Amino acid sequence: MTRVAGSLAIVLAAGLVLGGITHLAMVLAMPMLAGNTAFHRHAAALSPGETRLLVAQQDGNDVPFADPAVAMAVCAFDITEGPLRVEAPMPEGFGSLSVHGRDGTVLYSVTDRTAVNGVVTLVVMTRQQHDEALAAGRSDEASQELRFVSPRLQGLVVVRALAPYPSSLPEARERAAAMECMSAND
Amino acid sequence: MPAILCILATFAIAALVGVTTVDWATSGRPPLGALSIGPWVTWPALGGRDVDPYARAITVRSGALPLGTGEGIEFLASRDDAGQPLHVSCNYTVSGSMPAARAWTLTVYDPSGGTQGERAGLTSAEVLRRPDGAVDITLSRRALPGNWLPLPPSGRFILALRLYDSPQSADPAAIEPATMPRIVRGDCS
Repeated sequence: MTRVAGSLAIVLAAGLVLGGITHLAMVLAMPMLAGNTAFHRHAAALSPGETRLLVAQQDGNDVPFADPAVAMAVCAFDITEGPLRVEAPMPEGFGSLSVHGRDGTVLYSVTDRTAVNGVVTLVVMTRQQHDEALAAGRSDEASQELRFVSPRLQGLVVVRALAPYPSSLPEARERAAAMECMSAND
Repeated sequence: MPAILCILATFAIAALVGVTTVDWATSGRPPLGALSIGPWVTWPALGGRDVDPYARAITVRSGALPLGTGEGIEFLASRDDAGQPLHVSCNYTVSGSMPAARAWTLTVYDPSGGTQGERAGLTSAEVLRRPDGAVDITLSRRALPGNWLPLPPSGRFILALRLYDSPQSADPAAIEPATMPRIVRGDCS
C-alpha cells in the first residue's frame, strides 16, 4: 500500500515538474505555435510590396482592440534578399509608423515628426545590408530616410493615421493605404 | 504499479498541467509588467523590444498590433475609480484633464476587444470641453446630451484611453495620477 502511494507521489511530482517545463517551453515557443498571429493573418494575404488597409470598424475581426478613430494599413516584409523601403505619406492630424517582428515584438516605432515633406521614409535592413549601404555611401539619400537595422528578418510594417473627426476617416484611410513598401535594391 | 503505467501517467499529468497553465497565462492580459494609475492599466514593455515572453505570447495569440512606445501609450480600464467592474447596466462619467499628448482617443470595447456600432470612441478634437479645459464624457446605453458614448447592449465592457505622441510614452510611470481622467459610476438600472 505504501509502495503504491509512494510511486503515485513520484508520478505526481514528476508530472508537475515536467508540466512546468512544458509550460515554459510553450510560452517561449508561442510565436511559432500560435496560428492566429498578426503576421500569419496579414502576411498570408499579401504579396510582396502590397499594402493592405485594415478595417477595424464594424466586424472588429481584423485586429482586436484596434482604435476605431485610427486607420491602419499593413505590409509584410522579408529582408533576407534585400532591404525594404517604406514610403508612408502622413495625414494632417497624427500619423505613425511601426515595425513589428514576426514574433509579435514591436521593433521600432516613430511618429510623423520624422516626416520629410509629409512622407516618412523608412528603410528596414539587416546589419550587413546597413554596412553595405554605408560603404556605398550615398549620403544625400541617407539624410532623407530613416534606416532601421532590424533584428528580425520577417515582420510587418504598420502605418496609423488618426481621423480627428468621424468625417475625416475616409481621408485617413486613403492616407494609410497610400503607404508603399518596396524592395530597396531597385 | 507497472513502470510503463507510471511513465504514461507522468506524461499525461505533464501535458495536462503544461497546456492548461499556458492557456490560462496567455489569454487575457499580460501577467507581468503592468503599471496602474488609478483604474487605468498599461503595459509599458508591450510597445518595445524588451517585452517579456508572456506578454509576447499573448500578443501573438490574440493577433493584436500593439502601439509602439514611439507612437503613444495605451491605457485600459475594466473597473471604475471605486474598484467596481464596469458594467453596461450603469452610467459612468469619465472626467478630468488629460495627460499631455498631441491627440487622445477614448474607446469602449466589449471584453473580447470588439467595438459596437458607428460611435465607439471619441477623439480629443471632437470632444466638448469645460471652460477650464477639462472634459466630461458620459457613458450610457441611453443617448444623452454633451459628450456621450453608447455602451454595448449587455455584459461588462472595457475602456481604452490612447495618448498619441505623448511626451510621457517613454516613461508612463512619471504620469501624474491627477492628470488621468476619473471614472465615476452614476445611477444603475
